[in-house]
Amino acid sequence: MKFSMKRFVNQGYLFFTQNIKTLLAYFGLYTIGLILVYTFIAGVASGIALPEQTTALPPAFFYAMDFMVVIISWVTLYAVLQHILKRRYHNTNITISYFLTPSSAFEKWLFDIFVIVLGFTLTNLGLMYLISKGVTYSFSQYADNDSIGVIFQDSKTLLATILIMTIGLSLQVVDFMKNDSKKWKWQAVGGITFFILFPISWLLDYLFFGNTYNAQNPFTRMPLQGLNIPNSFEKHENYGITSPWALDDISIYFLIPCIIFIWAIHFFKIKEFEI
Amino acid sequence: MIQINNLSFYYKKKKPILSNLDFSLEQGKIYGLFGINGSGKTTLLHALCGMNFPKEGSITVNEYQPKQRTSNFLQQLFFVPDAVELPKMRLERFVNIYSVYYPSFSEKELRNYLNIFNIDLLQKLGDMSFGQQKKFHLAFAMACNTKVLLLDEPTNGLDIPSKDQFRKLMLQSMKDDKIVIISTHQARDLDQIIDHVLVLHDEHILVNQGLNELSKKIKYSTYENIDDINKSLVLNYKTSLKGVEVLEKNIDNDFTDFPIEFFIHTCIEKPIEIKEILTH
Repeated sequence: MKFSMKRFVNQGYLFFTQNIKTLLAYFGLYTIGLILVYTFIAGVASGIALPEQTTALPPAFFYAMDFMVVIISWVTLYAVLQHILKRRYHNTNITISYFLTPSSAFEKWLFDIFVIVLGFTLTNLGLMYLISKGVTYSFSQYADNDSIGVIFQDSKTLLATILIMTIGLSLQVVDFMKNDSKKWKWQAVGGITFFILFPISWLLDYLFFGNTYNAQNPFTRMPLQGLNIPNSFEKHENYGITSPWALDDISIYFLIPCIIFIWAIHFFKIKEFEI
Repeated sequence: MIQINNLSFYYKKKKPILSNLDFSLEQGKIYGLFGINGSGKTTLLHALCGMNFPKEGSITVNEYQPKQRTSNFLQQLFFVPDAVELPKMRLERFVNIYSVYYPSFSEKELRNYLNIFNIDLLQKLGDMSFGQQKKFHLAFAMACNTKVLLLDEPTNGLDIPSKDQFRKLMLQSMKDDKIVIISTHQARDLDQIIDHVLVLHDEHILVNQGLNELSKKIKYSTYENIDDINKSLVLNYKTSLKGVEVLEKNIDNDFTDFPIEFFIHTCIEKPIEIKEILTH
């Protein structure tokens, strides 16, 4: 059977109508949360809030805050999708369950990948970008400061973040393609994809850079990512890994093949799933 | 046509649910699938729609292998589960979204069925009771005109007039190229529409006979007194206001109404005797 755009679009109607309340609640709270957090960060950075402490705060603090926003938003997204996907794949009482919907396996796969995995990843980050930009703009003093929305200022970091989130969500989606919801090891791996990189970052630093790379706490910044920190002459410099393990190399040679591999598994799992 | 060859299914190998089922189902008939809780009725329905894969043996539904779940196969099959969960939207919108998947869907038939069930197409599914939702789901399933219709406990949640309406609609929507399998415990609700009885017992098919064939072998009689019964012919009996209701061997070739519920009860209580009569 040929690919049918109408059937594909219908999957979207079904998905969003079945989950509209959950999605509205999630994106609503997420947006409010982001506005509050970025307002706080921008307020501190511009000296409007906590003026006495602001001068004492190093750039790494803001970097860490920014990265914490990414981590928390990731965990929230993962938890919400856990709820949605359980209903989507495991509820056989739904009018026409996912596996009995007369769409081809390819149409279902395409929807899972482009709407659920990539769609949610990009929407999540897109909202973060728009809100951080908006908040930064409203603090005119802060507008020239690059400490906020760090992941969007460096294309390598942004690419790595998107790819790591994609791997996490792909693992989550694939792991639902089994009937035993108690075996959740790949979902767990998907959920901690970001966190796995922290010890890797620390280990690489320890093994190859003699701990110089992590002049700041490696657990408060984007793993495997250079950091703007003061050197011994108190001048700010960019430290970054330039070995074959640089971030863009990791993205191209490791993360992208991983994603392609997981997506291929997902396609076959759609065909092989049993309740 | 549905062809099942040596089908075995289990979740744990030591506890098989279905063992070596071997039978075929013809088009143009309504099959009643019966059995006690846990006998494998829903498992069999899931296997027929491709949600479970046979551990051994094979299933062919209109030349398709259900386990492949091709879109062509899924377009020819509609499965109505016991508990229904419908998205909270207007019926009209629901129909617009879901009917796309079924090429033989007839809006005219749906409107007719909904009219009989007293359901307005402008209603919201979220505002409807469970029974109304179930009626809508059944009407939609019938209007999809799929060649295979699998219904799991369709009369659960329906009020008495709706059960009657459902029976009428079921017969009205029946076509020569269609196979309907109804899995139910409410045999009395459906005994007027079922053509063929399938009883699952102890992992196997105990009964796979048309009602006419069953009536030739087993007859239903009522007696005033228990002493009037010819005990050598009796399969099962129960006392009621009518007197003593008896299910017995039909040696006189009498044709009587066939009480499916009583028969199923007897199958569960005396499977060996039933098997003996039916195999002769």
